[in-house]
Amino acid sequence: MNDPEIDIDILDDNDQDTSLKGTSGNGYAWEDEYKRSWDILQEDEKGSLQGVVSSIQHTKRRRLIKDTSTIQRGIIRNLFVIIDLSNSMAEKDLKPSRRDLTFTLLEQFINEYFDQNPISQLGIIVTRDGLSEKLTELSGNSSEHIEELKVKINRETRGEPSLQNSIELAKNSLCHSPPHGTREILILMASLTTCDPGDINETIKHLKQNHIRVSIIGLAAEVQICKRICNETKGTYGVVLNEAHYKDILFEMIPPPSTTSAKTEVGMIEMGFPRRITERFPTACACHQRPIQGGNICPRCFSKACELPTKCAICGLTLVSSPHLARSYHHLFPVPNYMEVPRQKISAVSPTHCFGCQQPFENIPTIMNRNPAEQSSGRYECPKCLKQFCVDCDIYIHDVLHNCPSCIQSKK
Amino acid sequence: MKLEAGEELLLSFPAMVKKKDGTIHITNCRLAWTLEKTKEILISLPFNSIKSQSINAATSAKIMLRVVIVGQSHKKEQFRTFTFTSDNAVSDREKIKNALAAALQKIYQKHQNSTVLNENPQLNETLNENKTLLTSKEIQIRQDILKNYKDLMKLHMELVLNGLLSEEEFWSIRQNMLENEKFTQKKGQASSSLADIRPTHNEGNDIKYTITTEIIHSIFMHYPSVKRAYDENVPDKVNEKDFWKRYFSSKFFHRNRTQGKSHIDTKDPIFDKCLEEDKFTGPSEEEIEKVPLLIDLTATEQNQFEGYGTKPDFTMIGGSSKSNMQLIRKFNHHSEIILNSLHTINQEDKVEINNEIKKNLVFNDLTTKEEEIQMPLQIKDQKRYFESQVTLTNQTIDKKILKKEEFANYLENFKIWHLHLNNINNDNLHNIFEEVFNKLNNDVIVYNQDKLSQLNKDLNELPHSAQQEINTYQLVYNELLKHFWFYMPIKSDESKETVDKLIKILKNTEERFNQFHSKLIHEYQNKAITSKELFNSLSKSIKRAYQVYDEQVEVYNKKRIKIQ
Repeated sequence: MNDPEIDIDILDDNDQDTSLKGTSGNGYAWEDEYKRSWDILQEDEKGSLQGVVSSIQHTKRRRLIKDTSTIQRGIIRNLFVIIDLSNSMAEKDLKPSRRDLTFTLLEQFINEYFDQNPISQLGIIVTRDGLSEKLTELSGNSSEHIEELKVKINRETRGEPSLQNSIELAKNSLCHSPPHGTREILILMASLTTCDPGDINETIKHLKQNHIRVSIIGLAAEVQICKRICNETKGTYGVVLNEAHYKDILFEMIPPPSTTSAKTEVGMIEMGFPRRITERFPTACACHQRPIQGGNICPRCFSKACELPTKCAICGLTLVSSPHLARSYHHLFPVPNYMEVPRQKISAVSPTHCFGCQQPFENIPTIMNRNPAEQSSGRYECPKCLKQFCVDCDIYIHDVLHNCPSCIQSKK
Repeated sequence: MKLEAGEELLLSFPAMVKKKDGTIHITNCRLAWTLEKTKEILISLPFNSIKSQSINAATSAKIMLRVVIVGQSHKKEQFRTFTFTSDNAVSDREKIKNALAAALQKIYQKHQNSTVLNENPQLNETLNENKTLLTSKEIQIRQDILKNYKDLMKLHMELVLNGLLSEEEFWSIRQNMLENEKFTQKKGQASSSLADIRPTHNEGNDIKYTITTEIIHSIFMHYPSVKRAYDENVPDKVNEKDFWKRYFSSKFFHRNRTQGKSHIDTKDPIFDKCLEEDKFTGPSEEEIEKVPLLIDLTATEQNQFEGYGTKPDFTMIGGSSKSNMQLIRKFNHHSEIILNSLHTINQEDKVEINNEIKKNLVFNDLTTKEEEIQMPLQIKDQKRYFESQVTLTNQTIDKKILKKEEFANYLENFKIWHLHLNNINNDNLHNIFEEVFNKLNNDVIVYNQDKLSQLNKDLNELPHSAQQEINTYQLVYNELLKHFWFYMPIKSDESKETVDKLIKILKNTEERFNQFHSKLIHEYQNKAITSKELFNSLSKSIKRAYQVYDEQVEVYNKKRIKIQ
């Protein structure tokens, strides 16, 4: 068949995610030999880069569409992160190496996790040489975890990973956590094999009995046993395409998960709101015996705790402050996703400035001149109050503020 | 004889102790002796308190059995001697002796790795005097934990070994730690076999192979014929060293290695036999019954539906490529090992594989994902969340509407209003100013003083032993308080007793601390004052504990009166 030289460019709307794929526009990061990251930016006819920049921003925003239904979520989370430190982690297909990228992202993840889930706890386990080792216990102190991650000895890669041993170790600790919190395991797996001493099906059975949810992020390829574990325990399984995608999938684990039907009978959970005092002389805190001048007094046993949120070292009461609880609450009442206003609907009566930052919106005629693929009106509308926001305000409201500014005003 | 719960009487015979008549009993928990006249148990020896037993000669006048009791190592050993008085004294004694020996053997097994106990003799004693039996593994775990955490070790020595708290109580609030340490993990078999050893080359023409026991196990697992040869020949016919030497120089070993030395001609009877065993004689004649059609590789057109015009497929016949046979055999053996380790292959699964064509044709990835069941948010009283935000805005402020004249009045007064500072009484002003200013100044000075470094300096100037004492007191106080709150609120008589005991210990410790501290002040004066301030927070907690204790005791006593 002699095809005339007609270039039929089939443009999907989804094809705008140029940054998601490797530079050649094809699949995985390891397929490219070397990255030409400068190729993404191309000037338009007038020599301006503005269009390209704004299109990148719009694609960034596209990834923000999250699940925003009001459902029951597990706010008090107990999460174990299992890091595979086998020989496959030393591969360099993700820059600078899988292991280094993992540790960098994990630090950011830990900070963000405690920011969004202040009353939750985290623990870290590593697996190498067929055995697993607990780096840090379940605790709510983020600096402790980050310190351990920086220790050089903890970063060495050796041998083969063991899925079963690491899951058993995590399960051992999670079983003792109180039932009103969620029990989760997140596995960062780079290897395609696992070296287990026994039958992993038994382990899966125990996981289901104990209501533990396992999610796995694969760095190499999809492995059937990982997929099965995630399906049976109602977790998520994702395989990484490249560095940016890795960060996206990892950060998807930050919002609290929806509760499964298993645990519906939850009673009251006892929490204490400590009083903050300052003293004339330094006195010892009950948790570390460190002298500090002022602290938080537990309402039950009157002992001093140095930082919140924590568990009182003497009587075991969970101590939180109201801002911590408030930060967790906004996951239950999420801001609805803002819809993009199609170009046709913009008329003379539409607002000319963004409601959030009062920056003027782009004129319609300038937008029309650009590449059709990059056209978006730049206006995003809240479905409840019908006010329009720019893309920056949209990202800010959904990521940081967690409240729509006009909806709050109109509550009166 | 009166038995405890769960105790079974095994044997009873008449015996005398210290010239008094009675009966000796053996149960499944202990050795006991009752007095004949009153039938009460005068001697009760649980098995873990018996060190050993001995008997005298069967021909002597009195048939005696002596039992040595476990005691403190520096004290004299204690004995109990039983003299058998019945007609069949010797056989009686034999029976008792055997039963006791069996029981002691069981206990000995449990305390097998008792090197642990030798390290800490005091710990050994407290553990031995304990009524409940601890296995040696648990003792090891506790030792490990104490070794790893110096603070815990200090606490343990202070409290448990001085008799203030019992061992059980100490560990009862630390169950989590014990559980964590108990976790053991085994290392699984790696796929890459250790049996493929590369020789470590030396200078010259010598080739050196290093073997460890792990490698030997690996070789036996992957080559069962070598294992058979080993079992038959070593150590009777061939020395172990020679066996391995011959293994490495045999054709068998080099047959799979194509690098270099593949032309070994030495004939070696043992390993040639191995070669013979592994030689391929053609695919096995037995037919595996009922292989499900979906995974049967040899199924051809004959046992399938009519062909669709494709050429008949005869490639899937076992044993067609003879040269690779050894390798394929090895891989199959390896897969067998892996599959055998799975325990969940049972009869029911075998039946399920039965030709469910439809189920096997559907790929989950290509079907639409079913929606996850999500629980809608059911906050019982949703108003309570929003209440705090709403009440502030809903307060109906009594709005007073100003009339025009009133407003004009206000405006007039406002225009002529003047700030009259010189009407204020001067003297008072000065005093007020001074008071306020001084107070503010003091507070700021006090706040800005670096109390922390002062404290640290003071503490460092105290002698090391005093510093350690202070630290120990802190730990002890914390520990006692932890135990106290563990038993709150008081629910039963036993916990009330424990709490009473704890409060007493707490008061004692307070006294001791006060004495210690007054001594410190006497010696070091000012420097010791800051260290006393250090305990302010703790003293508040202690007062609170006393207060709660008094309240709880009142409530509990009232409850008891009601019941009675």
